[in-house]
Amino acid sequence: VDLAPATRVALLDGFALVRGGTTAAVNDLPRGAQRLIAHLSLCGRPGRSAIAGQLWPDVPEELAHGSLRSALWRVQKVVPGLVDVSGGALGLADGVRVDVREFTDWARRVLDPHAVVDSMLTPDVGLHGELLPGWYDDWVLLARERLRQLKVHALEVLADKLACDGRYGEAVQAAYAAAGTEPLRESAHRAVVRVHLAEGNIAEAVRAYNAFRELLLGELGVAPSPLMEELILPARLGMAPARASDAARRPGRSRSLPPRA
Amino acid sequence: VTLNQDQSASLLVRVWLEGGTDGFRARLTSVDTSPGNDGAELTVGVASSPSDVITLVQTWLTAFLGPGADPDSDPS
Repeated sequence: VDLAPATRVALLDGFALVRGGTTAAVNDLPRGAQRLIAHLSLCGRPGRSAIAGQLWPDVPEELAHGSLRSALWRVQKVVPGLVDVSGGALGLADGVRVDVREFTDWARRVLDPHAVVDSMLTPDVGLHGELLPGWYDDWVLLARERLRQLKVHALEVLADKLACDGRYGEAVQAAYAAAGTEPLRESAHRAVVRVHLAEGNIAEAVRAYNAFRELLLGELGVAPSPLMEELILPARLGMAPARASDAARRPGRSRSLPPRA
Repeated sequence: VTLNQDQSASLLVRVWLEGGTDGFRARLTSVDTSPGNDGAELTVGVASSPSDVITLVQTWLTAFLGPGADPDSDPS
């Protein structure tokens, strides 16, 4: 039975199975079967022993293999053709789409320094969705963190590429999405500042810098790194209002002041 | 096999460097993996030095073990 081309597994924002454009009855799949499908979606084509050990780590090996056989039987019954069994390994059948794999492919294209920005349509679900929320198996936690890191790196690079292409609106969205993923991550905030500067929005750049500086001070009691300071320095100097006392000490800069009456 | 009285949790320590080795940053996030919990992530704390991370881990373990428990003791 070849149902694979019309089948899509979604793991971001929760587990879902779509066949022929309609959501399959996930409720018909017990949790063990859902975990098997999710694991194969994330891990490719592992061996039976590896799967059993990952999915049922707290039970004896024989019992884990029994649980795997049961879960596989259930998957084959509810979604025939989804899982390909060959030798001692299991994998999703050819042509089955997985949202995490699509998101990963997108992120790798973004991170490719030679890739052009035109082809980088942003996959919304990948940017906002979390991997299998509410699942806390070790292999899910690790995969979730890996995706999170991939996302934040891709967003930072995407912001710069979009800004270079003059697509400032999308660029600033990408930069803020990166900063939202980890609010203390300075490289994401530098991306925000760079986009504002590239667009010529000096005040916005300084505002973004100040907000980050205050956040960092409040949360960690530290200042931004020299990289951030170097980035924002010209803008801050350009924005600093001239003061009479400064002018008196540095007469060479008094030209920015209005002539005294 | 999941026992109802199981109590477990995960602590995720994210560390990164900003602008060189002086810019150490960390965020500690916990997930309550006990049965009946939704597995939501909670920020335990943020840190700008490795020693602060160790303090946060110690505090988190003490809270996990409950009142009166000594995280330095050997449960065996």
